[in-house]
Amino acid sequence: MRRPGVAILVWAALLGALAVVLWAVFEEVDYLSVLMPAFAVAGTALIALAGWRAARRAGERAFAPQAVPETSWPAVLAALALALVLLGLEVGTFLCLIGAGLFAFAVGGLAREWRAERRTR
Amino acid sequence: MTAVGAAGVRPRPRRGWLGTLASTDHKALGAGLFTTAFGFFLAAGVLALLMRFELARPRLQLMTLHGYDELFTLHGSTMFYLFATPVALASGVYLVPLQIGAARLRWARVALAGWWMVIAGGLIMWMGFLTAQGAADVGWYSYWPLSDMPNSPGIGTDYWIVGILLAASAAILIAACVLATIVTLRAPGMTMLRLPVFTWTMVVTCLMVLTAFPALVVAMGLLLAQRQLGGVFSGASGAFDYQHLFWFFGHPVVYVVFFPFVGAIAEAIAIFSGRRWFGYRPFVLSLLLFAALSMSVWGHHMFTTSAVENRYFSLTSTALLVPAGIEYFDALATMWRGRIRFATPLLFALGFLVLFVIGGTTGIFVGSPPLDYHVTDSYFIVAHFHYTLFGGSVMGLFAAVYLWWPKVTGTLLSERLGRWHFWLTMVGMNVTFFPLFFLGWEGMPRRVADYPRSSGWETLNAVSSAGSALLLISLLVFLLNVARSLRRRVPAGPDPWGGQTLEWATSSPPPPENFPAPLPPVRSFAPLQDLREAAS
Amino acid sequence: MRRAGYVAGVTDTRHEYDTLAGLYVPIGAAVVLLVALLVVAFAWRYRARPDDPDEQRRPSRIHRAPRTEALYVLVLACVAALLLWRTYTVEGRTDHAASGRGLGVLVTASKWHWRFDYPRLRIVQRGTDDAPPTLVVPARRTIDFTLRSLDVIHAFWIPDRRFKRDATPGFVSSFSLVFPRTGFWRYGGECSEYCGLRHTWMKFHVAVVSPAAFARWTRARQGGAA
Repeated sequence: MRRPGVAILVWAALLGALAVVLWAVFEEVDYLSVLMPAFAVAGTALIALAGWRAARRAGERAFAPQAVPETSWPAVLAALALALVLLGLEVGTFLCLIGAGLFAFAVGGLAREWRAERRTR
Repeated sequence: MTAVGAAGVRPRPRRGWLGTLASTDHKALGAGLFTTAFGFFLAAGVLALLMRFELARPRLQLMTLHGYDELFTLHGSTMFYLFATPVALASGVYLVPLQIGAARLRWARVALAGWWMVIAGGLIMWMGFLTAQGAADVGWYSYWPLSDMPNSPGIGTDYWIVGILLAASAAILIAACVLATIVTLRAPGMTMLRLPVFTWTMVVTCLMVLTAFPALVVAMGLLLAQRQLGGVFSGASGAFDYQHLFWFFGHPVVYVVFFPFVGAIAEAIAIFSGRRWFGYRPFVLSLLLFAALSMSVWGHHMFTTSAVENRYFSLTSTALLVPAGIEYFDALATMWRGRIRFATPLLFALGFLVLFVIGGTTGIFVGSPPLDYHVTDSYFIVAHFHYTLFGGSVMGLFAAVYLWWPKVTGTLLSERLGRWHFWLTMVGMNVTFFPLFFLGWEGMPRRVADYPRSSGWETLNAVSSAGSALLLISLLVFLLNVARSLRRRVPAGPDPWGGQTLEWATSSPPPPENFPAPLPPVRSFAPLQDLREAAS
Repeated sequence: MRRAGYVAGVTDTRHEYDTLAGLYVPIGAAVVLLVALLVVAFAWRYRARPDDPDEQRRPSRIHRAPRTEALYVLVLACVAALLLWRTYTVEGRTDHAASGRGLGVLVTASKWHWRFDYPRLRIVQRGTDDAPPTLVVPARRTIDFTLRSLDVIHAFWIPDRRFKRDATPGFVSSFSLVFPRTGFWRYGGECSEYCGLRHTWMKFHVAVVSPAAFARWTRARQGGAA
């Protein structure tokens, strides 16, 4: 269990084993009791895979210089714009549109941040 | 968008007060999210006090039936979605990079957006109180069809759903950041089996958030669609589907808000016993088993529906006593032959051990369907989960606050006020919640604003309400302690307690890049304890 | 002669509950007391005494005991197995579907009332907002309940019987109960699943009468209805 991927896979295996007991030993199993644990196991396995790949490159990244800007207002704006879009589902389409516009604006800001980061690498 | 955002990599721009609101530094972010969540804790606590005031005597004194329904809905929802989950993740955002020797949080902007989604979600949920029909009144698990438009037409319920969608998505985003940090940014030598105990609890917490919270997002999305458009849920299968989706999230969330505080009390017990945490490897394994089991017990919330396989969920629920038992063994074995110092964090950690075991054993009790048939949806359940959530999570949270406050603020809290806070909480908690076991046993259902005079429940309810007043006083003592500490600013130094993990090797509060000096060698999960033991 | 806990072939849910709780509660209480005792004892026994010049004690450095822990896990597993074995045994009895031979009562839950139909006796018990209905049953006889809901999820709870079942709209559930003792339980039945505004007051009374009294009540109700 030295590698993070392995630790996460152990957990996926435990989850899977418990789900199999439900599916195999017990009778009254509705479709969600099959789908949800299956998604959880598959999702965990994907996380493990991603973790395994990422951890191989972890060494050099840990000490890479901090390229992320100290403050990121576009990230804040993106969150608030998303809230406006969702609230618009209740209050009215106009709010969805305002939210979507602000979200696009925020994404633009984030793209500029990313470009600036790439230049410094 | 502003000057700072585009410029990006200016070495040390002045941040100021406003800058902390958009900071990508995991410490400002963690502290901000923590403060937000704690604010929601206080707000939901006020709702609880109002409910206890109403229940102190039979009949309605203070409010209408509908008002009471709004209170318990917003109390439970705020506590779970806006306080407990965010506060658990905030602890991880602040502490995990420090514990693993990282300079930052991975994907910090994503976590920053998550913080603001929690703020926005919370405000939207509470906005319901300003609408004509009031806030949501469907209970924190809002069973369909009660939560459908014809039964609960208030727009407050829609706001409530939108608030949860935002808060749940935020939890997923923040958990992804913390887990990615653990996977990719560990210091040299920090293998998975050298992660500090608290960080390990965050690993399983994040995994559970990533696998269980999507079910909540789906449930709330479908519920919103059902309310606005209809045709999503129908008949009994719709009712059962909603319950499956909800509890597939709804049980794991209890552990999401529990594991990080197990980690916190483990650190506190180890530090104040002068010993490293006992049985590290079996503990890690039991933690994984604990988390896997807790993802497999959701059906025990549906024992009385006749629609689930009761024997399976009874099996998994009862099996939880094994990993829980291992954790208690390790906690006691850490104290064994230690050199125990009674600082406030330790008091809260010991309080956690004593109170949570009451919540845990009653949990095993309700894991047995024939026993659950009687006490489910009664005040017994209310007592049970408050012993786990208040006796467990909140006591653990205060242990964490007293333990890491010097690290986060660089100042000390008063030990004397801390002891007052602890004992008032301990007494108030038991006076408030212990009588509820008997009320439930005698037949008082949960979520009622009134009870018959003939029931004989007046005394126990009055005692419980008096206890809640004690809890209010204990909280005021805590806030006084915090205010006093921030005003006097008694310097704490880098390591006031004799810490064992890397966060105690840097200054308090840590500088922006966390570790300006070279890290001590990492050869175990308690690197500073290694140094200490090698020296003596 | 009846076996203890059984009346007319159907299990007495309260008796079963008390037996099972009689196993769980002492074990649970013992665990709570043991933990509290050990926490206090260890905290006292191993406390640091900075003012004591004799104290040269260094904290122990033992931090693993795999064999002890394995043994302990075995004990925990045995406790879990014992509890589960008893739970499964009792649940096998309390989850008995309706026998079909007892007195049939159809329970209908709707916002925010209970209604009891005795189809074979052609009797209906209804209540009003201010006066809840009374469930009248003969003592020591199997009652086969059929439970349904017309609108939202309710739950049928008779605390004295230590039993409850959800009433889910679109789903009919059946169960049998027996009522060994005669008596009148004011508000002896409740809705325990939150169902909206008047959930607080969605209750009913329970009257358990002797078989002879039940026959008299039946005749009076039928006469009244005719």
